[in-house]
Amino acid sequence: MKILICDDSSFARKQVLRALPPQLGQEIQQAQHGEEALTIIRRNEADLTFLDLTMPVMDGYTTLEHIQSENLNTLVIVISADIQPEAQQRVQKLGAMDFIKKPVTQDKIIEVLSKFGLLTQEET
Amino acid sequence: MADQELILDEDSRDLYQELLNVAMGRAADMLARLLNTFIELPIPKVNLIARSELDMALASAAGKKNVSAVCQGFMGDAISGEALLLLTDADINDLITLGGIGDQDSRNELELLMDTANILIGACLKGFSEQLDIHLTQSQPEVLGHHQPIERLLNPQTSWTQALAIEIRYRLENRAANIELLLLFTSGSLEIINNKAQYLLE
Amino acid sequence: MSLADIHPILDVIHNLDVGIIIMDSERRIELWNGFMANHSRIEAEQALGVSIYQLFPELDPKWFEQKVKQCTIIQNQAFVTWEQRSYVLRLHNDRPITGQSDFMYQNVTFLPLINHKGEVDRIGLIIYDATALASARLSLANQAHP
Repeated sequence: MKILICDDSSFARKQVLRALPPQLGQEIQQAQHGEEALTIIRRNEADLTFLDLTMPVMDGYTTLEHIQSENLNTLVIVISADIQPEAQQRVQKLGAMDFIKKPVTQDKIIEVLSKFGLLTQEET
Repeated sequence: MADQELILDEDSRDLYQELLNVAMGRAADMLARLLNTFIELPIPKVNLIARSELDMALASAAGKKNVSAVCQGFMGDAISGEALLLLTDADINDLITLGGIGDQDSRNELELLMDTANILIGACLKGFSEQLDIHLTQSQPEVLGHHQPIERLLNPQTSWTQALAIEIRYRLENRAANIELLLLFTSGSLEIINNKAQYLLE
Repeated sequence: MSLADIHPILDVIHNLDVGIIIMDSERRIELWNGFMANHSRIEAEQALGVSIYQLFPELDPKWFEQKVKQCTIIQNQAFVTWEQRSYVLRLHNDRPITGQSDFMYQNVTFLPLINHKGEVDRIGLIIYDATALASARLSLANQAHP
């Protein structure tokens, strides 16, 4: 599976990298903001995107709007520090598959991926 | 005590920004629940500042009319600093019209200022210290601007020359109110925070 | 910590020049130190197990519960200064003869106490006497605006 991690913080990207279960494979790209992410997603190089919300240049909400309006082919899991219930509702309306609170843990990523059947086929 | 000249490299700046991002997300969530509104999360600004720069920033805040501030020290695990919450009277009125906080009868500006400070400073420090697995104790907060001028902050009898300043400006959706939170860490705290943070990446 | 070690700690708590109260989730008193007994004139034996609202009928439950909620939600201390409210609990002054006010101005810290399950099930109050500071500050203000 091709993975994209989009966060303006390199520390946060490292935390996500560290928390990814190894079964997901090694095809991982990183982006620092929404515009960089969209370039990668438009090239069909991200089956699964881990997306932050608060970022300079283009934030996560705008990125989700583009993914939705351009019908781009990627599943999005938002990983954000903005844990207001309204933030979660907003991103789910914008097509995000799920929402994970920062700081991220491997257990939580595994839980979400399993919920959507993204781990089962590769685990066996 | 003369401090060694500090340098803030990109990795450290990035680290503080992310630690505070997570901490303030928590604080915003609690404030949003109390005010029944959506809080727009900014990107925290992280800078090393010299004493003269802080003096200038505070002087400019004090120069504006009717600014209130709550100032609170914190320390623990050899990390120490101060939190400063700044609000103009207009911001306070805006918050009051939102209602939603507590009992309107006993409401007054000072009460609202203290409640906001308790929540934003408390939740932010709590979120910050939990990530690093440290325990921070807060001192009694001091209110400035009501009975005391903010200028009082400008001339403390301490010898610091440089500090790490993290500036967070919360905005309420569809409102003019800005709540400014400034966290200042002593230069000696930085190395300890850096070391603790390394565990988070192992 | 052994039981023998607790005695000197309790001794210190009871002799602190600061008020210490621990309340259960129903706001019934579980700890009432010497400072509280002296300044409220309610002995620990009378206070233990009794609701704080019964001991201080003028304490506004709505206001007080709001402060408790603040500190339980963030699981962090919450502070009330004498400037926003002269006192939380009406207590007698340290200096009944030469003091400048009938009551004790207070700075109060609300402390969430977390049990082994990670839940807040008790609240601690720390009460600092701020009368000297308040009197000095208020008399300065009076001189400035006679």
